[in-house]
Amino acid sequence: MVTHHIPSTLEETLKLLETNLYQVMCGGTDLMVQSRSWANTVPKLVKPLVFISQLSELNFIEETPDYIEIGSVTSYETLLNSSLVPKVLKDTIIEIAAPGIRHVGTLGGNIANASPAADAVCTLIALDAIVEIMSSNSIRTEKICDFIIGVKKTTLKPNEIIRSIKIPNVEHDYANFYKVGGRKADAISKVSLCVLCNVKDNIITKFRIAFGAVGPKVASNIKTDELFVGKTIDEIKNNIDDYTKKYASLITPIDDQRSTKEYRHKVALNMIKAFIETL
Amino acid sequence: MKDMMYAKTIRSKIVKGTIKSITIPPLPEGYFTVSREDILSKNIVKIIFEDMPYYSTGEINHLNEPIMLVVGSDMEIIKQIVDEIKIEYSEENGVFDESQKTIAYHFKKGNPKRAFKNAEKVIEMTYHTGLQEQAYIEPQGFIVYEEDEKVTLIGSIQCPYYVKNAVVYALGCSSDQVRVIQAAVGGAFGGKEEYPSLIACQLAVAVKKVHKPIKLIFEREEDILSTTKRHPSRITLKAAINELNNVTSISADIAIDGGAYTGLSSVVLSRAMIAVSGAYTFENLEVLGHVIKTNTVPNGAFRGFGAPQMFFAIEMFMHHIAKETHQDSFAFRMRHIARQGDKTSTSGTFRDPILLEDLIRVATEKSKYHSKALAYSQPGIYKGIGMSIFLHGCGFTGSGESTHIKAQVKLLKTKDGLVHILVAAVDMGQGIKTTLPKIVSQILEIPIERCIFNYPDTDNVPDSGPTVASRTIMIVGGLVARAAKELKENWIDNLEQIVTKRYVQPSYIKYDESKFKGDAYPAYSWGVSVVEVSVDPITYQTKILNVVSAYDVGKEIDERIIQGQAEGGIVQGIAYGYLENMSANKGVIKQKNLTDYIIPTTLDVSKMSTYILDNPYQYGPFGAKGAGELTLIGGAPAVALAIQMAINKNITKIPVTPEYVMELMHDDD
Ligand SMILES: Cc1cc2nc3c(=O)[nH]c(=O)nc-3n(C[C@H](O)[C@H](O)[C@H](O)COP(=O)(O)OP(=O)(O)OC[C@H]3O[C@@H](n4cnc5c(N)ncnc54)[C@H](O)[C@@H]3O)c2cc1C
Repeated sequence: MVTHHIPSTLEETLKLLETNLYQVMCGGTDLMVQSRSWANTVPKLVKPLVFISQLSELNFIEETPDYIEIGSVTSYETLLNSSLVPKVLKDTIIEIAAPGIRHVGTLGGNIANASPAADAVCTLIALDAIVEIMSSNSIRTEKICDFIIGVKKTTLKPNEIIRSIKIPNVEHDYANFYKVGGRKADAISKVSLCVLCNVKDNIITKFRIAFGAVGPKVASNIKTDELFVGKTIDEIKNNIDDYTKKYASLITPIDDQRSTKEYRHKVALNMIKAFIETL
Repeated sequence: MKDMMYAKTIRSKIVKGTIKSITIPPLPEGYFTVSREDILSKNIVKIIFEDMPYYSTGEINHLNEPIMLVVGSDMEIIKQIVDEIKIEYSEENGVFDESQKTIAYHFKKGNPKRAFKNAEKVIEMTYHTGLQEQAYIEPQGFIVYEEDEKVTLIGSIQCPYYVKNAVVYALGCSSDQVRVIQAAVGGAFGGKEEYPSLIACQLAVAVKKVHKPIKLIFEREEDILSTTKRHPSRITLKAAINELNNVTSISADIAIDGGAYTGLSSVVLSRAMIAVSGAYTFENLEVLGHVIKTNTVPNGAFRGFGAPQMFFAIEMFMHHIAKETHQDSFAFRMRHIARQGDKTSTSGTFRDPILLEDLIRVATEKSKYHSKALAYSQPGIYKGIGMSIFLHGCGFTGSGESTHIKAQVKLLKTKDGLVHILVAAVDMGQGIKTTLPKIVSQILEIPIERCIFNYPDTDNVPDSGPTVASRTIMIVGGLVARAAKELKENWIDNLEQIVTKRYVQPSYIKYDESKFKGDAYPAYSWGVSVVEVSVDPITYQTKILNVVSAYDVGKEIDERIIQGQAEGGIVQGIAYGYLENMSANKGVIKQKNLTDYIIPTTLDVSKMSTYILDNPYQYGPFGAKGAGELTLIGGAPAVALAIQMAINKNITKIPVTPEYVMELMHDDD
């Protein structure tokens, strides 16, 4: 007999996870799809579940001088209704799925699932978000771009849970999310892009880009971003093709049932260029 | 249902080859496998072309071909058994090109040879259309049970008598031993026309073995991977142009991919070939058509039935000819549109008035087609507007109605004055539950609540034919109206009365099926669709900005139902043209679920306006003709023409995906 658990506290949850026997389930919008089985039969789960969406300790949005901190089980819908959540993250969330899924889907799930097409992950990577990870006897933080290591792979251990996501509390002059899906709603990204940029006196002071669905994980490279910093807007616009192409090697998409690698590559570069033109 | 058993299908894991061995684990009591060894009579699904077995013969012709059912009472145990069954194959290479032809048709009108000989100019183009999945509301499924010797099937179906006849044939039993009842069915779009017969035969054999009720419902993914879709096509068109820059002849070479089994493909091919003229008249035609056999899932019925492929090709081609001969495409097309009295592609006659000019006027005015086309022809705007002109032959092709279908309808008036409409036509969201009672209630001048239409049960209703081919209102409704008139004349209160009517072909309709000569359809519905788009030069995505359509469906029986058909149809047609993308790689379908097979949501469509012009048809009830398929047909060419204008490149295939648009826009990089 398989037993699933609905713990009422975080402590209880972490204790269960210490056995390494369980998988956590939050909104279930990735997990249940992945575990689907013949209708009316038991889902194909790898491990029994510990449900976490009911944990009030993980359901919060807080502002500190340095961070906006979001509890991992806070639903997309809640985030959309919060004045603390950065606009670019809301712009991203509104492009995810449809209202029903957003009612239960979470950032924690989006991150832990580690899909290269995960939309919120794309924006959180550009925002240099930090993931706070907990077990019954430890707490650690990791940059989200280091936490995710490959397709569906993270550094999360079986006894750990994502507690929260911390987004540096900084202002951006430009903060845009672009999603290209097969249709206007409820579509998985063929390619996505989040770009953040600050400009002072016509000089770029910050440039940060992350791309979704163009490689085994959401792609970003701070070194490439830094090539833009300190340049004047004119310098970049006058050499727009050269600057755009600096990202070409970062974009290593594949052909699949949703699109082609040529398309993903071209569109990712087009979007950077289009963004530069708005500066 | 008490003692319900469940069934799961075991399917081939190879594309082509033979089964070397099947190893079945010892089965617990009450669990069964059902396969070809259990067949009592024939292992053939009775469709038009009889080549499809319902349990694999051991020869595998496509991936996910059904081999056997596992039947039992506990679904978890069935799942285990399914996992433990081992099948070994000897694999062969599949065929995916045009090298295997199963059906070949050919017809001519006038003297195409002479027209081409005398041509000033000859223009040729080849067009391709892709697979389209019906994405019907619910997946395929049946419940079957046995009472004494009799087999009853309740299913998600469009054609109760197709299922019944197929099962009678498969069991080799008498007709009164099979009963088919329609369950509530959601929009089926042709996907429940012939395919359900296959499952029904499997289940009928199974119930004869296990003698308990069995329920078999496909999973969505299983359904997409194993059931019929719209035939992909390759259409090569050649036009002879004279010194007045008019088309004197078209020569067409059409190949549709039937997949691994032919099924209905020959009839789909006929409709595609007959549609070769589009809504135009050409004096001379030479038309060659093939069904090709490939090792992919069989293709079958889908709203439009061969016509959408051909209308895409001919509409793009007409536009292309105009461009190549440096003339205004609108004027050029107007010079060629069909007019009353013209000869049809099969040398029949368009007898009834044709309102095309009015339809075109309404659609172009309401959409501001002319001014927009002019404005959008400037480079760098990335907007376009496309107009398609189309018709749809109502009812079965040729003499199908009188020779194959021979529809019968019955009205049963009970003593207390309720009138039961007894027909085999199913309501699957297209609204005949409303329209048929409305026809009867109007004629009999009784409240609509007294006109009863229940889901058909073959034990109670006569065979009024399948619910396909835009025939239900015009043919079945026409017979129902005639029956109602007769009932009215003979109405006697407090008495049970029955009126039966049979289809009689209008005497002027003569058609030679083998030569494709004569009146291929008793009547035609007509339409014009205008689609306006913008194309994003950064992402190559198309956005639908506006849709305007005008139709002649004879007469609306119900305005809102026509509105529903019109909007649903054009959305499905436009999506076929630019959004719905399904492809197979060496027999493996890539988009296997509704995450990856993208169908439009409400956010993907724009405002849609529909205008209906009356043009009553003498044999239709109150003048009504077909409307179910017509509204889909103009969608793909209209959107493709609009995208073509927006990017100023020749489009030769659908769907016009962003990936394809990118290729076209950068073809000179
Ligand atoms: C119809 C549909 C449309 C979708 N559209 C989009 C889309 O447009 N864009 C997009 O990015 N995604 C989309 N998704 C995917 C999904 O909704 C998101 O990834 C969502 O954020 C997952 O959150 P969840 O809470 O439902 O995760 P769950 O399914 O509960 O969990 C997913 C994984 O994360 C783990 N997990 C969850 N929470 C934690 C935690 N706190 N700590 C550690 N591990 C955890 C689980 O063990 C599991 O492995 C869609 C899904 C569906 C069904």
